Amino acid sequence: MKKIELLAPAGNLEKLKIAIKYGADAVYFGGEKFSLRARANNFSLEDIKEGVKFAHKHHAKVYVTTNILPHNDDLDGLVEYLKYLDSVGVDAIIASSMTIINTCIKECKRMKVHISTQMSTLNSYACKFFKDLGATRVVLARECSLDEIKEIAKKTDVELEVFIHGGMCSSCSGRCMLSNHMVNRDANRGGCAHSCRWNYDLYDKDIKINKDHYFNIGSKDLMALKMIPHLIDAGIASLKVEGRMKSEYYIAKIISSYRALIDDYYKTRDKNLDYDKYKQEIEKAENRETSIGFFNGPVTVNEQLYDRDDHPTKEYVGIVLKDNLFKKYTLIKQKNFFKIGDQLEIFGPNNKKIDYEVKEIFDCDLNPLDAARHPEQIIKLKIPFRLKKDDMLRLKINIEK
Amino acid sequence: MKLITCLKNINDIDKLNFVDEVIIPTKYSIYYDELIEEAEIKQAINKLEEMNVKAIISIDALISEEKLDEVFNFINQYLESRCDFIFSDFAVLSYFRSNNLDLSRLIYSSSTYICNCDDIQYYHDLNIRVFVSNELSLDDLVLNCKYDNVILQAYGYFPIYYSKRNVLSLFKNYTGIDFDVNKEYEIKEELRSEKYIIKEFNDFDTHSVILNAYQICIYKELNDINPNYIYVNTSNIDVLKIYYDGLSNSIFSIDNELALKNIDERIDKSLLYIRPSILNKDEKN
Repeated sequence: MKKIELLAPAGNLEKLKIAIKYGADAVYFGGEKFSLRARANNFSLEDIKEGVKFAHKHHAKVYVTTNILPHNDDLDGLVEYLKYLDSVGVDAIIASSMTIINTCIKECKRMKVHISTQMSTLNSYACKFFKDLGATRVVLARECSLDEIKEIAKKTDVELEVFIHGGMCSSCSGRCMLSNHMVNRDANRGGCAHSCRWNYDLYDKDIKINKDHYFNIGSKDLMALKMIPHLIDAGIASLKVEGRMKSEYYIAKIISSYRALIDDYYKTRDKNLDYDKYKQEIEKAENRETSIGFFNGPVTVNEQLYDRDDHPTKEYVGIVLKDNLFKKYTLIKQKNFFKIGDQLEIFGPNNKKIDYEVKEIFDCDLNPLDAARHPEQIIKLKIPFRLKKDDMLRLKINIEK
Repeated sequence: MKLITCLKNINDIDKLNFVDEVIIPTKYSIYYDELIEEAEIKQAINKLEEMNVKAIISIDALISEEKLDEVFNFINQYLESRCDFIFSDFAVLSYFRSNNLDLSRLIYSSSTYICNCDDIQYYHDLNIRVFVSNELSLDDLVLNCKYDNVILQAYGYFPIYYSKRNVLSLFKNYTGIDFDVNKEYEIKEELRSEKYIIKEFNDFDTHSVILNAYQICIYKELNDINPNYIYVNTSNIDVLKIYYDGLSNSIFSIDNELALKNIDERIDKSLLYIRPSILNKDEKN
């Protein structure tokens, strides 16, 4: 049986490399055209080529999102763009427009078509339709329960991809125009303003019903750790993590945690894994409330986002820029404030963690600093053990607390 | 140009003898004002046939795996009747193909997906009619409506949010506030003045719908857009008659447009004259 694929988001080239180093079997990202997530640092044509080269060198696949619902003007250059993606080795596009799907099937010799979750596919008959169309994979709607996913998998021979982690639309994907009508940002062309996460009042004619709470319709993010063994057993082809806008630290933590879980299940075939272990790691990077989504059936209040209390995580404080080869100083790019006396935890793709107390901080010219204050500042630390490029530093204990 | 409307109340059916086609909402529809029971659906189709008006049965909800058989059985009941079917789940198209049924009886209506000529051409080749997106500019509508399989919603409310979450019931459970979740309500965003109709449905599956704040009213623009079919979603016969007058005379006059405004002030042009923005990567949130 083919091992299930762990599919990671890549907001830019650096994140693509991090995702693959930290355990992704495949990555997806948008180019500068035809992709949702207009605010992500979408890939230039050169970036795409380099990303594919890096991914394939590490035996990972690359999928490019072309999942907008284009208006007439948006279609200029479609054939050339798809042919370019095909020529540089992109493995598949993720699409929802019939025009983009059919153009790819007609014009591209090698590149496959995956049907985007924007098509809200909830059943085996719809899967059959897309297979007949020429698609090789369908990304199922996030509204499918585990039982439904199992049933669909039994009845269809098209590859299935399932979301396991990250943001959830409150609406069926592709069916929400709140953003278009409220702020004139086209949700299906990359401009979603996340109006479903705003605060509303609920009225019965002119009488306001809500008193102490706003009326909210937003969803908590998805975290489906306990579903992974079931999805593996059901024969799902790919497990997808959402989050092209997320940080490299988030990508590293989420991907390495799911990587470990998947590998542990393949080794043990025991569904009674210590899920808290993976959850604790994920929670180090997750700053939004999570839930099981629709996996257990229709959502309850536990899956809805009320009186939200999101807080930005500031635990990720730096990334190693070069292998230190036991040299006296390790070159670090600062990601969040930390200072002398702070306790850090250093981790890498293998998930091994090392504790480290900050005793000295230096700038590039080896001038001593009392703290790493400036975002993206390049600093040097004396770290007495071997570290590799892209290992990360996380704040463990702030001594003032 | 042909006129399509929606059956709001079974008792009003006789008044619709001048329209070309009537949509009959069912519990398998995304949105309906009042549920028309299955026994009444057959009755409505027969009555419309007597009036020489074509019936269109709406089954445009997304269908979960476990509900497929129920929906297919429902379709089977009406295959012998003179009616078409509105769908948005590709399971319906797949079912029609698998059973060699006539695809020209299908109308694709996702409300949001049909935005360009090439997509329309795809359905045209299959002999399937489509509802064009309600979020298009006038320029795009003029281009898209050149295809003879396009239906344009010219008047009324339409869904701008379709969720499988029963958001009214969930809110009631969360807050403990006692209110009837089966009624229609309105929501208002904390910084904005518009109110949007919200309704929850629990007859077939569980879902919630939010409608646009103002009823769209495309009238004088029909002279330029000139679609083959217009859909007027209203229970107001006077509104329907004004559209009928326009298409009978092949002129959609300013006077008639003003008359529409006098009937209901809560109308607007939606996004017809607004160029939707696409954020560039450097643009701030």
